[in-house]
Amino acid sequence: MRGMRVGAGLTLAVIAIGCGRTAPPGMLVGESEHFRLYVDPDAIVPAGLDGADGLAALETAWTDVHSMLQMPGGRITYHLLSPDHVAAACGEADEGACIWESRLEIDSPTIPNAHELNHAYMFLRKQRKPVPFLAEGIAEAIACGPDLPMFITNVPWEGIVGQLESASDDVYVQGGVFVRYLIRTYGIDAFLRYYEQSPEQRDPALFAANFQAFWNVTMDEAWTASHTLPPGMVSLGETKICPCALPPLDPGGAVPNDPARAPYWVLPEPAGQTLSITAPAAERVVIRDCAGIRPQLTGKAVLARLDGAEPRYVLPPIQAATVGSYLADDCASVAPYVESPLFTVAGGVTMAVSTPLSSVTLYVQLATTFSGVLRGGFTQVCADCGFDPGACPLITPGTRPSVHGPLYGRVTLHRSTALLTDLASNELDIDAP
Amino acid sequence: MKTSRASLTAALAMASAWFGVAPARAEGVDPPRLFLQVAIGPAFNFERWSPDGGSPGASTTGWAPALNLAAGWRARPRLVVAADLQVAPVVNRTESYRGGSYELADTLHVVDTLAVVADVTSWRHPRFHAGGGVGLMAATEVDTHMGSTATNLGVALLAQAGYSRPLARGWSVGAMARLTFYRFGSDQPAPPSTSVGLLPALLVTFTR
Repeated sequence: MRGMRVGAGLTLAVIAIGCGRTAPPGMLVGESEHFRLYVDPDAIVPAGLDGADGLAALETAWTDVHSMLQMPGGRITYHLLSPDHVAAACGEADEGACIWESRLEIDSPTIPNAHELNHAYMFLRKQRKPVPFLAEGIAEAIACGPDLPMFITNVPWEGIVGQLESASDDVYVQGGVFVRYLIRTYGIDAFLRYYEQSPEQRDPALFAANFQAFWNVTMDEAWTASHTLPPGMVSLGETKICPCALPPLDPGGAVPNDPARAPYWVLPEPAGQTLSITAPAAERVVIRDCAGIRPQLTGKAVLARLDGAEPRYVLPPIQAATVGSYLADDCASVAPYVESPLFTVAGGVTMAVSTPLSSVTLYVQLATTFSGVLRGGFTQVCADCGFDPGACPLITPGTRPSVHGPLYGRVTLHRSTALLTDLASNELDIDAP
Repeated sequence: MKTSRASLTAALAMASAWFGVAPARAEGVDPPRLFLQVAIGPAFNFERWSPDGGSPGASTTGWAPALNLAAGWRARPRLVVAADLQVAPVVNRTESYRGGSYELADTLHVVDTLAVVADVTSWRHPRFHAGGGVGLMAATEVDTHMGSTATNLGVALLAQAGYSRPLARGWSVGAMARLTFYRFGSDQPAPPSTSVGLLPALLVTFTR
């Protein structure tokens, strides 16, 4: 979310105090171990996050990020405000949200605001003021959510590390890219050691010398690496890092959606088995990797066999999750998939398996009765596991044959060796006739 | 007894300087032993920063208002020895680094020197004086936006020359050019580094 700036500079704090800043509007909802929550009567409260659930959401966020940042205890005052009141609370008209570090107070129209919370966590770790490039970078580095991946172009770093956060979005965007690169490359512990000894002066030369002294890598080398893919590789972009420290998805059927306590679920890896995840009506399943570098999986439903793959998480809402041998290496082992494959509004069934190979052939059993038009996904369909070439001819690419369930389908999933993915995937798309 | 008179004279001189009530003196009358000087004017700072470890260095330039306070005594009729405090906050320096220029916006680089200065007045041209000094310096980096500060200590050499003419009540007004050379080191943040700088200033002086 852009425009979230650290309004925490000493200058602003002094101005605010000097001007007799009044407390933001809102009623105290309650206190928990790490938060004191006030909610503005005009605030837009998301479903499932009102009242005590708001506090629970904040504590959930704390628990999750604590697995990475290991911040000490403290209590953050959180004001959930209407967008109109945020500007007044933050002291600047274009402020989207802010933190007052000296008071450990967050003023935000959203809850939980990962960006401002990250600022607070880092301040709890060590009360210092690294350059905005790094401070905004770490605030933009950690979150689990629907942010779209971006591929950020390379621009000279020298002008950015000396900038104020208000100067341009580069401090946020480029800072986020760079900090995420450092965390992914060297680990969070090394990054935190670096962050907490980094210069507080916005001086490009000092920043570069300090960087080289700490990492034994020049700033030029690291900057180029953070903006460059390995030769021959293609990326769809990268996004924030999710700690993935919350409980895994229980694939036991219907899934209760509780955004306060389960803002996402880590995907379990049942050995050799396939996860089946289905979204509610008019929604889509969104599965992302925790590191934020892999293409996301999305569809009305997802069949995923992820053992050995990079850790992933799925965002709510989810209607149901089950586990079974839905994607099998041989037809005899396939378990019946009983969801209707007719998803005419919100996409098809995304099928994905982790594999070191460039392609893998699997079998699926669509166990429901239906009639539809196969738009893509299977290379051959058959009424039984025989897959007799005479009775079950190969489907010519580009054709849209009519299909009738129940049926068995054979599918060859491809993994692009150039795309930064560890999965072979395909989308089964069966439309209504 | 002699010492007491000198002390009384110094005290009276200090009081007269402080309250500005000393009687007017004609030029040519021996000035009081106590020497006081206030000077203010623009200064330009050039500084070279060199880190250990092979990383490229940088140079910075910027303007500052310089304020100078000196207090001492006239050890000889035309020799002044004084303690000299100079404060020069360089505002928003420009850094030259690897061929680029970057404004260090919302920053102050405060160069403070505390030196012992000897200043000699010309016998032939009593309105001209020149001198120099040596002392300690402190360089303080202030980020006026983020609120961070960092101070490092070093040494300073300074040279100065000026012109003054009597004003009233024992005060004289003049102009003085001063060149301060300084050097300081820094260990935090890593890597260790050395900075050398020049601070030429053109000051309006008020001296008693």
